[in-house]
Amino acid sequence: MLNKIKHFMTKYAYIYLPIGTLLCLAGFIGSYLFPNTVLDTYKVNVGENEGDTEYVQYFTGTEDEIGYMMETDGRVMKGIQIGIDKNGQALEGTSLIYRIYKVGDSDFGGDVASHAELLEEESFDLGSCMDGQYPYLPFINEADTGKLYITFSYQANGNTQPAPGIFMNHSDIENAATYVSGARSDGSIKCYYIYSHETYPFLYDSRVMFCIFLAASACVVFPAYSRKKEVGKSNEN
Amino acid sequence: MKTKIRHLIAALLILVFAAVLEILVFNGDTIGSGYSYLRYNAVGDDEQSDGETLDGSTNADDSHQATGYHVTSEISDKLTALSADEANEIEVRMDNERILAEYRGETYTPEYDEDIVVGEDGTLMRRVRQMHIVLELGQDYYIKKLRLDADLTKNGGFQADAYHNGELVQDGMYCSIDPKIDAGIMNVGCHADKLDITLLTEDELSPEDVRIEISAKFQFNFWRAAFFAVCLFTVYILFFAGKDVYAFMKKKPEWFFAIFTLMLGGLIIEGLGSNMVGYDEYVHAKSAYKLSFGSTIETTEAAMQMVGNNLPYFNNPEERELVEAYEDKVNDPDYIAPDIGHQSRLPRTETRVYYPMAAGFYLGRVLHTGFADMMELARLGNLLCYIFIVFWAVKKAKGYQMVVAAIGMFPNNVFIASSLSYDMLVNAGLLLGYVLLLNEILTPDEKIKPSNAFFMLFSFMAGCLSKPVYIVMSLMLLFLPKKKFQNRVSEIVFKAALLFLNGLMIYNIFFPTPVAGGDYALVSNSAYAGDKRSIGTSTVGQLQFVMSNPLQYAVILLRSMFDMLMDYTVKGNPFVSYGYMGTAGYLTNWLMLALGVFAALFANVKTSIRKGMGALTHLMNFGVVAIVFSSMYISYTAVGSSNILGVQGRYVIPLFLPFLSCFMGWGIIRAQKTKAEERVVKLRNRLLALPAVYERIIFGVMMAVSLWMTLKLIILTINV
Repeated sequence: MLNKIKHFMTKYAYIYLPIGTLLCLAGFIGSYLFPNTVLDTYKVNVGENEGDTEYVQYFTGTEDEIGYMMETDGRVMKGIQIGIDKNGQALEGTSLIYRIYKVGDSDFGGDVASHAELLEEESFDLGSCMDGQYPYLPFINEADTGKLYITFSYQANGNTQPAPGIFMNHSDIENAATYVSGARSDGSIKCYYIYSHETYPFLYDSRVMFCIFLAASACVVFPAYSRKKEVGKSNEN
Repeated sequence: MKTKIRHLIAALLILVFAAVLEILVFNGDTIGSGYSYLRYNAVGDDEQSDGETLDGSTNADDSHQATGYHVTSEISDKLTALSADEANEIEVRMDNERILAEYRGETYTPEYDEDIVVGEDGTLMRRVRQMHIVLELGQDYYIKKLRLDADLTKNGGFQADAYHNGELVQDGMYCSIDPKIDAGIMNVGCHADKLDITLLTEDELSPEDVRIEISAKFQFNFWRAAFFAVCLFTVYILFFAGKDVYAFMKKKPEWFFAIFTLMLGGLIIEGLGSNMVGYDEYVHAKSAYKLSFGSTIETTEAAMQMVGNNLPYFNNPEERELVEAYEDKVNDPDYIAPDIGHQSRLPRTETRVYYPMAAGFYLGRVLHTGFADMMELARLGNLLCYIFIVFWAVKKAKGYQMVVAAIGMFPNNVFIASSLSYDMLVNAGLLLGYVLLLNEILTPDEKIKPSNAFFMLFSFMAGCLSKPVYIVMSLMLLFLPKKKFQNRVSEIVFKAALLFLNGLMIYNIFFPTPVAGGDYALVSNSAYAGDKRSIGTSTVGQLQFVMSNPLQYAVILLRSMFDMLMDYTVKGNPFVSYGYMGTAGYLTNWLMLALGVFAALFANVKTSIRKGMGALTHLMNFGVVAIVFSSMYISYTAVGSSNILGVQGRYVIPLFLPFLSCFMGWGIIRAQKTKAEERVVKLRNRLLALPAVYERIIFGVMMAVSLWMTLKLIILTINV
C-alpha cells in the first residue's frame, strides 16, 4: 500500500508540484489583496498616579457636553473606550451621543465645536453596558485622523432617571485635553484609544511554500521533456 | 522462540534488579533507623502547652509528636546582599519599566521594594529577619530529612548545622522556603542529637509559627527505579542481546535511536516535573499554552504562574509533593477563577512551532491530569516530535546513520527536546534537512528527486521558523553540480527559488509580517526593537553603530567567535549540559568530539565529499556562526558594547553534521593513500565486519554520558 502511494506520488509529481506552486502563488497574491483587519487597544489613561484619585464627572443635563481633544499620530482612529458611571440606574433607552470633529491647527479653546468640521455623530445605548464598564464606542469615518475633538452628551429619551457620568482623574495626557461645559478641565477622561491594522495570516506560509514547491517542481521530469530527450537520443543513434 | 524467552527473562530480571537497587541505594540508610518521622515545635519548653501537635491542634494523633526535647530561639535583623541574578533581575525590570514609561510619554521614577536597601557603594541589599533555633533532640537519631514549616508571605530559607555528641557533623546546609508551599525540606543524612537552625525571612515571625520535623522514612521511588531499569536495559542491549539484535541494530539503527532517546527523554521529563530549568522555558510555555486553546484562552492561576516563571521549585520528592499539590490547588477554576483572554484563530507562522507542546497541554486538560502532569505531557509532545523527525533523519542518512544518531542523542539535544522549547524543531528540522542535502552532495552523479528537494527545503524551513538565520545552511545547495539537475533551466529555477526562500526568511527578521494584538505598534516599532531580557538594547541603534564602525565591529565579532572556540576547547568551559541543571564536565567536550569524529571516520559511506565542497562547508559553518553572533549583537547586546552577549554553545549544534561530514569516507576514494588513511580504511572494514561493534560503541558512549548526567544532575540534585 505504502509503495503504491509512493509510486503514485512519484509518477504524478509533474502535475501536483506545479499545481502546488501555482496555488501558493495565488495564496501569496491573495494574502496581499485581502488582508485581515484587527483592532488594537491602547491604554491611554486608565490608572491613577500616586496621590491622584478617580472621580466621576456627571452630566448636568441633556444639553451638557464633555469634550475631549486629542491627536491620532497619523493613524485612523477606530473608536474609544470611556468609563461609564450609570449612577446606579439601568438607563434602559438612554443613549450616549458622541460626535467627532476634525480640528484645524488653530486652538479655538472651549468653542472648538463651532469652528471644527463634524465628521460623524454616533450613539451608544447605555442600557446595554454595565455600571462602571468601559464600552467600546466605534468610529466609522475613515477621516478620523489627526487632531480630533470628541464630545459626549446623553439623550434621556423620556427617562427621568439621574444623569450618567464619565470616569475621570487628574493625570496629564500628552496631546490631549478635556473640556467640561465648554471650559478646559483640570481633569482628564479615563480612556483607551482604539486603532486598527492589517494582518496577512497566510502571507508568510504562501511565499515560503511557493519557493519550496517551485524548487521541487524544477526537479520534476516532465513527460514531454523526457520523450523529446529520448527522441533526440534515438536520432543520435 | 528461545531468543524471545531469553529477552523476556532478561526483562523480568532487569525490573527486579532495578527495584532492589532503588531500595539498597536510596533507602538502605533508613532500614533500622527506628522511627519514621518526629515533629517538634520551635517554642521554648517553658512556653509549650502539653500535647500540641504540628498543626497546632491538640488531642489529635500525636504518635509522631516528639517529647523530651529542648528548644531555645531568638530573633534579630540582618542585611544580606542580593545575588547577582536577583540584582540583575531588578535592573532589567526597571529598565523595561523606563522604556514603557518613555513610550507612554510618562516620567519614570525608579522604585525599589520596601525591603530593598541600596548600600553606599550602590550594592542592593535585602533586609531580613533571622530566627535562631537550637533544638536538642534528647537522644541520637539518624536524620535523613529535616523539614521546617513556616507560614511565610515572602521567600525565606533556613540554614542548619547538625551535632552528634557535641561535635559538628554537618554544617552549612541550606534550604529555601517558598511561601507558596510554606515549607522547606533538606537532606541531612547523618546521626545527630542536636540541630542548630537559622531561619531567614522577610516576614515578622514568632517561634509559634515554626514547626520542625526530622524523618528517616522508607520511600520507594518508581522514577529512580526506572532509571536503574534503563541502565540495566542498556547494558543488556549492548553486551548480551545476541546476534539477531545486533544484526537489526546494524541494519536499522534508527529504532535503537528512538528507543534510547525515548527512555532518556522520559527520565528527564519525569525527573524534572514542573521545575522549569530549560532555556527560557516559561516564555515558550506561554506561547504553547495559548496555542492549545482556540480563540478563547482560559488561563488558570497555575498557568499564569508558569508563564511568569513563578511556580515554586522543588529540590526533593517531598517538596515535589507539596509543589504539585499547590499547583493543582491553584489550577482549580473553582478555587481561583481563570483569566479569560482572546486571540486570533489564525496563529502567526512563527507560533506554529509550538504545536507539539500545545497538543500535550490540550491532552492534559482533556484528560483532567494534574497540572505538573499536563506540563510533562507538553514536554512529551515535544520529545515525540523530535524523535519522529530525527528517526527519519537517521533512516535517510546514506551510510552515516550513526553520525546522525549520535548527534540526535547528544545530551543537549535530548534535554532541549524534553523541555518546553522551540529549539527542538530547530535542531531536528535542520538535522533532517542537512541529511537530505548531504545525501545529494555524496551522490554527485544522481539527479535530485522532487520529493527529496521538497522535504529537504521543507525541513530547513520548519527548522528555521523560529530561528531564520540558519536558513543560510541551505545555500550549500547552490554549489550542487549541473549534472544533479535535468537541464540548465531546471538548475536556474531551483537555485533562484532557493535564493528567494533565503531572502524571504531573512527579510522577515527585519520586517515581520504584521500580527494581531494590542502591542502591535510597540512590537512593530523598530525604535523599541531589541531583546527586553537585556539592558540597553536597540536594534536600530546597534545597526547604526555597526554601519558606522565596520572595522571595529569585525574585530569584536572575530574576537568573540575565537574566544568561544577557545572556551570550549582549551579553557575548560563545559559544553555538554542539561540546561540550568548543570553540565557534564569539561572532558566530556573532548569525549563527544572524539566520538563524533570516530563515527564520521568509520561511517559506511561509499564516497567522501570533494575537497572544494569541504572548504565550502567550513566556510558555511563560519558564516552561520558569524550571523548568529551578529544577530545576538544586534538584538541582545547593549549598543556599542565591546562584547557580544547571549551567544550560547547550543547555537552551533545544527552545525555539527556539516562539520563532521568533512571526515566521512576519509581516504576512501584516494588510490594513493597515506599511512593514516590506510589504517582508517582497514579498521573501517574490520569494524563493519563485526556484529554492530561500531554501532554499540556509539550508542554505549552516548547512553553512558546521558545516564551519568541524569544521575548527577537530576536524581542526586532534586530526586533524593
